[in-house]
Amino acid sequence: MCAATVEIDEANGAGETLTHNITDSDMGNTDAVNMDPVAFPITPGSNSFEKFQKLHVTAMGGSSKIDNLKIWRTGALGANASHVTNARTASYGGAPTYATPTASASSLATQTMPSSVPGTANLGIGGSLTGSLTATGSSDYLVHQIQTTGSAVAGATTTMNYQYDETA
Amino acid sequence: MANSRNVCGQCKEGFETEEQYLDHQCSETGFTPRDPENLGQRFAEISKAAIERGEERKNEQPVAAMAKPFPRMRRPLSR
Repeated sequence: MCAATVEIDEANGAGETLTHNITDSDMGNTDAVNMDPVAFPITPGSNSFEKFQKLHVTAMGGSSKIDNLKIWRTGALGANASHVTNARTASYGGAPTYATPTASASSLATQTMPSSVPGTANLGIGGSLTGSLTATGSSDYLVHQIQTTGSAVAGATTTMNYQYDETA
Repeated sequence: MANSRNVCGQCKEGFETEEQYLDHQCSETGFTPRDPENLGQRFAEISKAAIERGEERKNEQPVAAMAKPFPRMRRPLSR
């Protein structure tokens, strides 16, 4: 038996082009996947473009269920920057509808991205935190954005964490 | 590729459908997206370790007590 294969996908552009198995989650001043944050830095006082990402199960590998998705960031941001998201453990807003990512303050990412593992699921499947995948498929979109003030400093490198339960 | 809604993040090839993406053999990784090796050797190792931990926990769990059989019911013989 092998474990399920789970990749991270990201959608960009007006046409919702979905790039599978992304190599990084760098955020900056452009709507692009696997972007170079040095080439597209966030101007202090501005926001990054939103990221629309999802966990995608490409094979169950003999497992029966994937659920209990938990997303968080480890590592401190630079001063005067905040990381916001739609992920939340209570009063979940359902599956967000994709919209062309914007650098305006996100209307979907309104929660603070956890900086440690959440106690319960904070990203849904099928619009619900208690949802599950029993075959190939994807989670709800994770929407997140970096927001800065005019005093923000550059250079923070952090790690995005994506955790799930897998039942044999 | 025009009208490609699904792009492989590794080899950059575009596909019209997700199924086409899942079936392609990536020229960068040498595997299909269905293979855990497609996510790198590290993912395959982590997955293998997770399976092994699961098997260990399964073997540690106490075996449930056998249920007692139902008592046999005696039916009066019809006369």
